[in-house]
Amino acid sequence: MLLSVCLITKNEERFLAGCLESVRPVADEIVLVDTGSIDRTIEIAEGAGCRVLHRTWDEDFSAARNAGISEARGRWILCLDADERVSDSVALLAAIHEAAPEVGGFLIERHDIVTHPEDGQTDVHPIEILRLFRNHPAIRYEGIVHERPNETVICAGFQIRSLTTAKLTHLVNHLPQERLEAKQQGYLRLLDRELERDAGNSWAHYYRGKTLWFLRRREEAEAAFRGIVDAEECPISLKASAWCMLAALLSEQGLRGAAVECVQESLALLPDQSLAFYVLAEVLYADGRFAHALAAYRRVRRSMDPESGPSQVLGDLCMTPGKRGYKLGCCYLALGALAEAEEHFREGLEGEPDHGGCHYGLARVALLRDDLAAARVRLEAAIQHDPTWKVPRELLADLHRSPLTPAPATPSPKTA
Amino acid sequence: MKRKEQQKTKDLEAIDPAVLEEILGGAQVAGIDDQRTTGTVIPQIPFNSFFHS
Repeated sequence: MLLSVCLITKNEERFLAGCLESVRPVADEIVLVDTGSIDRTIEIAEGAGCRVLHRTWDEDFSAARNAGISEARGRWILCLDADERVSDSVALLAAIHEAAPEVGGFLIERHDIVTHPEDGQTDVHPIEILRLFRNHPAIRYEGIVHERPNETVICAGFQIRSLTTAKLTHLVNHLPQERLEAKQQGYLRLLDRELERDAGNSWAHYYRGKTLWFLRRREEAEAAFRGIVDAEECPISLKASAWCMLAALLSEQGLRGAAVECVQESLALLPDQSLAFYVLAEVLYADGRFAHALAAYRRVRRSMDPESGPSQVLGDLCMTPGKRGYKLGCCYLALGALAEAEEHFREGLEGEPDHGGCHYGLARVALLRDDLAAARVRLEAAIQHDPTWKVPRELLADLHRSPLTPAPATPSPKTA
Repeated sequence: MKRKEQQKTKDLEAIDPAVLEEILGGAQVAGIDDQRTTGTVIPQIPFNSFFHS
């Protein structure tokens, strides 16, 4: 048996079928460790032919993952979560067949797809993650949360390679806010336990900072990220990312000068990353420096660009064609350069015809040209793309109320 | 003391053009003026919405 796919689940009925479908062509067996589902998870798993193991949840992600790995019979293991999907799964088999004996595992690029309820837009955060590795008794997950097998692969005497032909997709925010918050509260409890055990664990400090930020405990989040950038022994990619998180946190407080200096620190560590340029662009846009924001957005990698290498920092980010068109278009719109704004919004729609932000941007361009009919069509398209997005809905309602008066331009932060 | 604190805060708020120049380079934004903000500013969503996964 060549490949065992191992999952851990708890109440994953919404996601599981898509995940199992994506590995069906290559999995010789699927071992699923369930930690107490009360929804249809087990029924879906059994229906798809998974070997289901039941385990009491003991607040330890590694222990649950390792329980499944111990039962796996394949020569290689692919670990997944239910909200992940494999693209081009056949490439996994090719990598396994061609793997040199010294290769113990492969880093796979995972695209975290984050959908923002505020504007219906999607961001792609690429990270490299070790999910495909040899079934070897010494290779096991470590850490009770945000667990990784990386160090055990090295300790077992193997090397780790990057696999560029297959990708994972991770559907991040596709949960109601209350469930996301509960999940993050759970992570925080486990991270605190992890740090009691190993106070110098930089990964745990980093994830703790992000979790605290999500839970709106900003001062504690800032302290966590400062601890990482000040630490003597910490991976550079982690430090570079922590500088970016600090920049974003400071910018939220209006401290944009300090934020830009944090970006500078991040780029000094890793010049070829996207995350720092994206954060910088957002800070500059918020500061009303639209031309500079434009230059910074242009430095963010494109997700569809085959020339883009793997991500450089933890939590790195790339822009989809729609997102890129939207961001560049917004900058030009703010600068009053309507032709360029239109060009970029249209370019965004060429790559992603349903990108609501680009439709909305074209509506704003049309309004500035007093073309109310075109504006209405674009706003309707934006609403169709995301019926929950309030902004185009409100603007359309305004147009219906006073059809001859275009909505006034919002003043920029500099001129307000 | 209060003045010193205010000064410190002001420095943290103000973006240093020299730092920007160092990061982005002058050539990349040549020909476009940040002050030309005559258009419509579409507010972007807050950072807190971005960085959790």
